[in-house]
Amino acid sequence: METRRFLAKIEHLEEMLDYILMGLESLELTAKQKHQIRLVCEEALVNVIHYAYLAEGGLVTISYKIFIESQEVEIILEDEGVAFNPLESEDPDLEIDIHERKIGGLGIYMIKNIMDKVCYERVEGKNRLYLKKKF
Amino acid sequence: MESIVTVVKEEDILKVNIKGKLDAVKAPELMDEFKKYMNQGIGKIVFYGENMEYMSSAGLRTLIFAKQKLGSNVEVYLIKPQEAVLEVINMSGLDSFLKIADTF
Repeated sequence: METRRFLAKIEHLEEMLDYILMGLESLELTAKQKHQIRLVCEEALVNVIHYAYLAEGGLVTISYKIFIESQEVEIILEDEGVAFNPLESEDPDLEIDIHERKIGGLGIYMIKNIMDKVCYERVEGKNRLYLKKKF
Repeated sequence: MESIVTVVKEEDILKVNIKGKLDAVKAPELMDEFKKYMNQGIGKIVFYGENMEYMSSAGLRTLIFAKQKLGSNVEVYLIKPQEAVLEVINMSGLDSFLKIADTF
């Protein structure tokens, strides 16, 4: 498993996403698959930056593991912010009139939609989000 | 490469040009720009998508904000979106209120 720690600040988002996407290069993903991974990781990291750490900031540990033969990836994000389980947010109502549409919940909805497995744990004062996808 | 967002008002039309990514880094800038045009009688908002490579939920929020807050009957157009952007819009069910076209 490859691991690196980053300052959980929006200014470092690009750097964090590049770290993950570069690590996935040997899976030879299509442009569409890379976009999906970028999207999922952005949504998950933005949650850490905005909700787990609020305005205070802190560190986020990004780990990933690739399985070339089975074309799978596992990504784990850990932070020491306040307990925040993104899976508790309600799915947005996609059928509702646009004027009533709420602005939250879309990010986690897309994470669940794209990934095959999404798990959240609170362990030893850390938020741990586990993501898995088979391409 | 840094993404660039420009907003130009022509009569009651707001033209939004996005080059690169409308993500959590760039979308707040567009949101601030939109806030300047609240209650200014905007009738149409046109997103030019040809050079927009990527959009995340932060970008989707600007579309929802544009539709909900920039006027009572604003029409939102998306011109020539790239596939990656269209996929995100369809996934979130926002395609039903956008007018997606090849030209404006």
